[in-house]
Amino acid sequence: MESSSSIVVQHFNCSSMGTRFDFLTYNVDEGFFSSAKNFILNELERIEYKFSRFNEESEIFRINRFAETENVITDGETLSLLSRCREYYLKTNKLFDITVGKFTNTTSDDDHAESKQLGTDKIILDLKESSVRFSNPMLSIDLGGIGKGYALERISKYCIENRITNALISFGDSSITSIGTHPHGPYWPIGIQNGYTSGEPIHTFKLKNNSLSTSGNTPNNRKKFGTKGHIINPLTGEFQIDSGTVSVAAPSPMDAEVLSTALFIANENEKFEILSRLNVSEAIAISYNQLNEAEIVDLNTDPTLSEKKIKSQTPLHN
Amino acid sequence: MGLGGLGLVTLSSPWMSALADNNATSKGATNKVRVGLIGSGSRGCYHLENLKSLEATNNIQIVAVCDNYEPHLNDGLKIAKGTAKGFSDYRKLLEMKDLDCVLIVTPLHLHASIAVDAMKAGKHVFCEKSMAKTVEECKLMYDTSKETGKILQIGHQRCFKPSYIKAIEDIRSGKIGKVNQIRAYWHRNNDWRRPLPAPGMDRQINWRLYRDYSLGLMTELASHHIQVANWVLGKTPVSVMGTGSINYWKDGREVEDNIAVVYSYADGTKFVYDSMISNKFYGLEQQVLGDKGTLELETNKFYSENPPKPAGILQLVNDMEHGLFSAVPIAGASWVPETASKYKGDLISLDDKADEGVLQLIGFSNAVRNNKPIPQLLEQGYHSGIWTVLGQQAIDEQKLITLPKEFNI
Repeated sequence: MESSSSIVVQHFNCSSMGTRFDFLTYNVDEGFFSSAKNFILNELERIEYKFSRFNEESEIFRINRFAETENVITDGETLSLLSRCREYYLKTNKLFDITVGKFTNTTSDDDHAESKQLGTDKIILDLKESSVRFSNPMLSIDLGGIGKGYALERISKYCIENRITNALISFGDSSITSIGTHPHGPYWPIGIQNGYTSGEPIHTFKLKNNSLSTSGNTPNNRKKFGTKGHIINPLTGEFQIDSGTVSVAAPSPMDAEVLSTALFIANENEKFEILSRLNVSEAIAISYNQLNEAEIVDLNTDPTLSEKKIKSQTPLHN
Repeated sequence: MGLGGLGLVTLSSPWMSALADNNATSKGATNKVRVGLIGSGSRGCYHLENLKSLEATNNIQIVAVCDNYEPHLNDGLKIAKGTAKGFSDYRKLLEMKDLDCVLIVTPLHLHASIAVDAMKAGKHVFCEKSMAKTVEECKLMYDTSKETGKILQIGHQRCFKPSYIKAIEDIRSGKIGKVNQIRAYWHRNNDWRRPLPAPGMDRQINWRLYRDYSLGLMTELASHHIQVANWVLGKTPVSVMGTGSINYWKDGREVEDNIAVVYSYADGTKFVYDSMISNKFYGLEQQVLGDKGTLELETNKFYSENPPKPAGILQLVNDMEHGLFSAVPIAGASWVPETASKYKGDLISLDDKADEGVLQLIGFSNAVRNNKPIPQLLEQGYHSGIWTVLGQQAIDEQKLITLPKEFNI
């Protein structure tokens, strides 16, 4: 613990990947902080530029355009990222799928039929030849579900290698990575509010060298995306319309990001199974009843051993 | 935005393709672009400095400098460092065989005659803004470029500024919603005079203040923002109304020291502009107002109408600074509008270091080298030029002005 008088807080923010990015640290040598800021701003722009499916000069745009008809030679970073996405696809029972973005481009009634042709496993990666090929013309890659996690992983690695031992890094509040601790406590205390009533946090994650990701449908993102929500079940092609969120804390920001989305879609029986395959510190689901009361469920409890543990219920505050 | 992103911007800023279309890597003499500069006053020397910096990297050479005022000519030749020939008459300069193009950086009233003579002499032309002093002269310059096939580029350097390019992309992608109004202002607090080297030279040195040579605030300042407004909206105005007066600097000048003009576009969108030189508090800005956000182009800022709530992070910062350790609500989406006074906005572009004054010359020299006009750039200069002149006409006549059909292109 440090006294408040010795704390020099260093903070900057910018817009990136469609949301607000915040970097917060303290007592870092000004030179290191300045270098870190430069690296982070450049790295955010680089990742967004390289992996955006909308950017006509991005690597993903090029792969989406040509991989239907030819083996597209790509670089090691892209190949590695796609390879990790394939692992996530398998570990999440196909619920984390980077080809599901196809559905967001269409309102077709044939979504369910199309879903059978999609799947990250249908992207053929040749690690020896460094090439990517699509097994059918329906495929298209969208890294939107993992881009923030990847950026946080890169930034976190840079900080650790460059003498920044305490930091909190947030992407639009939904993806957060911590390094070290808060200056006045043994972890970073990150709270989650009732999405309808705000007020005091209804649950607090104690982050220390791990990451937190939240996915789901809240009143706020319903304003942004409409009542149908914004998360698609890749197995059905349908939007998840349930009200509520899933938050996952894990050492890896990519694991946290993938799992929060996959667990929001997963049925009750497969949630624990999926969680068991990845290194997770804590995972909770928050749902709301008609009175906007929040119910928090611990997803790390094995449903075959006991009933799901209900951690708390919160009354309506307003 | 780095220059690597050119492919992204070619739809809304097609002239940027000129920067990528560069054969200058071959340093051979046949590829060298030989440049002459006409008018080596302060702005002319600025261009000469930029040209000089490009000699090593962009395979160009300053071969001639012209000015009818000897001290300015000497200033220009000094920057060109001895390799350039000096002229006091631009017509002699245009007779040079080993000259590919000219930069015209003279008082406004000379733009048209020199540009037309240069193009007819087979030289490509970069001409400082504003294009010309009358709509007839603007049209003559445009027509001469088309007839001779010579490049004519008007110096609206914001066309090449990375943050502007990014802003236009953001606007096209819907980031600020429907644009309903553009506002711009350019305020200074000085008499807009330059010191006279000798008695009797007022009109030659302070040509911006006299109607024989210039239209004052409209041509020397407003023309930039008129060009940007047209670029933002992707169209040209249908009418302009305006007013202006000399109410502070009553020193014999003939151009207004304060003006206000309103341009209307066919869909009802307005561009509202004012300029004055007796108060500089608000300085310079161009604001693009959409129903989802605002762009402030001169300062590279974006303001959402519904900014993300920063309270969680700010509370955390406050706790850290005051020795507090408690859970702060950060995780999960929260999207609560905040009062504008606390919201400082975001940068439009993180990379705005490139010098648009240099980029516009790279684009021009590449176009000359390839003997290929730069897509839509002349049109930008033409529309800005004529609507600048029409704005002054609205101020002079105190009535709504529209564009005569014969000046449509």
